Amino acid sequence: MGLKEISYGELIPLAVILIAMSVLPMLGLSSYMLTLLSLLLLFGALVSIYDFFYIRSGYINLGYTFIVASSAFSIAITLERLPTALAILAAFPLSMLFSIAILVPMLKLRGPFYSVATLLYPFTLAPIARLFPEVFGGDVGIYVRPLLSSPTHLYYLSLAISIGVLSLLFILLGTRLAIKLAMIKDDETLAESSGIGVVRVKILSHVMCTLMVTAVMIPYTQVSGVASVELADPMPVLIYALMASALYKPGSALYSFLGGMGIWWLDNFMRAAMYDLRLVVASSLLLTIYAARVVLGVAGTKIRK
Amino acid sequence: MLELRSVSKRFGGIVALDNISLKIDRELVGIIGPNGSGKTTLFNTITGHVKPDRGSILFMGSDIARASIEDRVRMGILRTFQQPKIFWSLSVEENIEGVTRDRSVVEYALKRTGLWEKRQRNPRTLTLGEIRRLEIARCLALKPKLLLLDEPFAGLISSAAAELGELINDIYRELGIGVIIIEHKISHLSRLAKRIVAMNAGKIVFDAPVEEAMGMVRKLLLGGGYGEGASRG
Repeated sequence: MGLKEISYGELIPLAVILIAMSVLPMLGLSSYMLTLLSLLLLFGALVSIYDFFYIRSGYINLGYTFIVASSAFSIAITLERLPTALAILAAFPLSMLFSIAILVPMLKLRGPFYSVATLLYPFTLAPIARLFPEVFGGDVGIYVRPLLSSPTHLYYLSLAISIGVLSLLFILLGTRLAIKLAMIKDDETLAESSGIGVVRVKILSHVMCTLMVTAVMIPYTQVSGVASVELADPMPVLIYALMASALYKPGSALYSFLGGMGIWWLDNFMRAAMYDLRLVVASSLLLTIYAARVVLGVAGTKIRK
Repeated sequence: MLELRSVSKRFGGIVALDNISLKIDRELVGIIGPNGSGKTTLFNTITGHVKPDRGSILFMGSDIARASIEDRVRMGILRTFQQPKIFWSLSVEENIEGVTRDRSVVEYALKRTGLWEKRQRNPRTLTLGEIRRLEIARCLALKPKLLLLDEPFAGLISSAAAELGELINDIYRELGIGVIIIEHKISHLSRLAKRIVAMNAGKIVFDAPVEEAMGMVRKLLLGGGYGEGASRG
């Protein structure tokens, strides 16, 4: 069985869910509900991007929220200064500039060394934001100029971007990039000895990841209305991302989308009901999922058995 | 095709390669030697996994001592490893698809190594002999000019080893490439290689035609001058 066969199998239930979600606004949901659903879709998309580019390659980037937050800042900064179309276009290269920083350890470090090095990045954003309040708005963040006022329109934009991201990931699953990422995860030395430009693949996947995250953050910042350092907080977002990718099987970006949405919903509930215990509950769940994978004999990050 | 000129490599106090000079043309050469004699370090130096401290490595006339692993692969220097190395999470076919865009090359490599019928299989279901063939298929897909095989017969039952030996010999003849095989036992190489290079303690002990080499190995074993491993410098 190959990557393509698996990805087709995953597509059908996802397509059914997305079609069902497209009719939700017609059921007369409240603005609050539509906003929640928009964020739910976008968080699912962020998790699938993470799963595809980092879990699949075995480069567990614990600084992912740095990319998320810097993309949000890029959008807010450009929207503040430029006309809409130009601002959106300019946000992509600007977020690329930020994320180049995280690329540097990726080129030399492997495994846990890379993960720990990248974990430091999100923590650098807050001091930078405080140091340059006129650009990043300090601890409060910066206001994002609204482009769409109707929650229904925002919901559909979020749905469209999520479908776009998933479609792109689905297409990528059938390409040699997906195979190369799996090869790098399996054995980087062998990948190099097989003529795979390991550094080139890492750079390409990082660039694609940043561009896709920036696309997701356009509606995300519109829904949240602000770009702040809070978005860079790695806990518990990273735990959620790791959990979502492990729920079905690591390296399955499409199912991670569903997992991401489910976990985001759980987080939303915990924020309201048990805010202080959120991290404990999330961490315990992550440990339980990983332990269950070990007990069930599906530990590791095999793409298929 | 390949020429090593006074190549040396140390790992701390261990001399892994001691002033090695070797010329290999489009021929099938066997390298024998005890553990720690420098055989695998020699391979690693040729493929770029290890940078030599001294000396130069010429391949098809150009110095490749500074070339990256990827560049050397592109030039046609392909290898297998002592411990079988394949991409375990990918199917047999994907193991080859990942290294070449050309569908006909994937088909050729798998058919040539007798794995075409098993292309959809998970490599964990393959036998060791088939895994060794998959390693060779990966190299074939990358169009080798020089194929380095590190103990390809290790752990194989005699029938599988004979089959693999036949495959290596056929590939060597069909493609007219250089093949270097590392082996512990000269017996595995006697029917394959025309030339044997023996190493010990990072040095070339002898470089001779296979018939002559058999006698020399016997003499060395009886004289106790063979099998001391890498030397401390």
